[in-house]
Amino acid sequence: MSFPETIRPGAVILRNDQSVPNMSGWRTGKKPTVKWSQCVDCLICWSFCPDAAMILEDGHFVGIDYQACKGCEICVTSCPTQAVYMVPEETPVSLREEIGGVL
Amino acid sequence: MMAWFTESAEDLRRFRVLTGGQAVAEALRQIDPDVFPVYPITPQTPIIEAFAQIVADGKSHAHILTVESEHSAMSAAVGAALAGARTMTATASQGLAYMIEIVYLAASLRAPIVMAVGNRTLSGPINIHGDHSDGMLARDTGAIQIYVKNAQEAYDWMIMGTRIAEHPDVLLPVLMGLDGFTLTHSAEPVEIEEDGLVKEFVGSYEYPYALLAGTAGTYGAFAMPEHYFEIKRQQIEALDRGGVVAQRIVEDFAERTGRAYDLVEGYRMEDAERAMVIMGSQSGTVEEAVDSLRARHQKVGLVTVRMFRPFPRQMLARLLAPVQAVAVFDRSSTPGSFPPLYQEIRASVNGPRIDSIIYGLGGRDLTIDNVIQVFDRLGQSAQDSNAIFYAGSDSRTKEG
Ligand code: SF4
Ligand code: SF4
Repeated sequence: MSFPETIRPGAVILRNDQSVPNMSGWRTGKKPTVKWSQCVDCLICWSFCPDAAMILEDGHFVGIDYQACKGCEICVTSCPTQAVYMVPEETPVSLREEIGGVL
Repeated sequence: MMAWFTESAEDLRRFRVLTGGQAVAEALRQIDPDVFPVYPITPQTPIIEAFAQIVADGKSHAHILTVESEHSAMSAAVGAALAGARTMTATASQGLAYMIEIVYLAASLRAPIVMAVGNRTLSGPINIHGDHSDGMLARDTGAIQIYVKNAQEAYDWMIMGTRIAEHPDVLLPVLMGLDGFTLTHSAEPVEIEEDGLVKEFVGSYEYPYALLAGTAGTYGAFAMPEHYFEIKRQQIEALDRGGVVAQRIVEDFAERTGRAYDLVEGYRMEDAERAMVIMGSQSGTVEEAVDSLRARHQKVGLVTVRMFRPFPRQMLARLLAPVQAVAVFDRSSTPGSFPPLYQEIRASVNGPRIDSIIYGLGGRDLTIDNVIQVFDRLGQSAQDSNAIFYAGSDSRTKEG
């Protein structure tokens, strides 16, 4: 659980207090990641994800927003090419461009 | 304290004969709030009548916002206070009941709104007269609560209440209760301070994240379970700090005006064996009863609770621990259990027998004889009676 070090009186939030709100508190130790070599960019996971955690750039699937992902594994189930799989929370993951994946 | 009998002619000029409502309005003129959202309701109406006249005469720059309900009045007050305007209001009874949903928000958003409440009972049966049921309904809102004894105190605590509410360690609404009719509509001499003194005492309004001051943020954001608890605790701790801050502010006020207040006031408590605890205007009635019993060499005393939230637990424990028997007078009820002030005293004081007395509901007078009866009964046994007594309501009416 992430918790801001200070809360202002009245829980007022000023512009730079918390740049990315963390809504991932419900994940229970595992997070989804993508085998980019297997992903065909069909966006089925994007359309199924109930938390809009799939990041698109110019209409292409490029990665998962872990500040939003709740770990429900619907993406794992929905991917027709088994490109999405769960890994332990601490595992480093990469966006598509970081591994030079082809679109 | 009939101080005015002994004042010099110069000092006497500072006294004016005012009702509690007018005294509050006079304090408002001097504090000169920016915004005053309000909806009329008896017995608060004399406050807004007098203050509207002051504004119409150009003696205050306040913007009186006439809204369609008390719910809207408090909503507007929250917005105005967070926008950076010193904001006050006044209400009573059903009006406060209707306002309460937003008083919770004012406290949680830390909007330092000062409101005068002309304490009146709650319906039903519908009744416009004084008791503390309305204030007690607002008991857990997170607002600071003060109950005053007379018009002078109403004037003084509007001024002190402003400083307490707006103190950066507090930033909470202050609800100042003055008993409906007994105080709101009855005139007595009130010592009015110089405008300059009051203005200097309250200072300027400095809400730290004012919407209109270039520090605008998000107000009233949704808080999930991982944040709500801590935010609520901050608010609870701020209310607790209100007691310490209020203590410093009453001392400053005493230095400047000569009128010294205690958050809890003991009267002839030095060697008292039996004591009454009460809040509000009827404290004066008990004082009379204490004087007449003291004249008959009975060791009795009185404790008047001015600050009900935060509840000054240690002060009450100190005052009441040496006493053998205590009767707590509540002017409201908690059907199905003991009334609010009694519960507080029970939770704060160890040692004496403590009786619960309900009095004055719906404006019923509390007579000196009623009080003396209670003192007599307190002297009869050291055992807790574990029952509630109804002072001034002898006859039972059967349903049927
Ligand atoms: S695990 Fe659930 S929430 Fe997370 S990316 Fe997959 S579908 Fe979205
Ligand atoms: S469903 Fe599978 S293949 Fe389709 S975009 Fe998502 S990860 Fe890639």
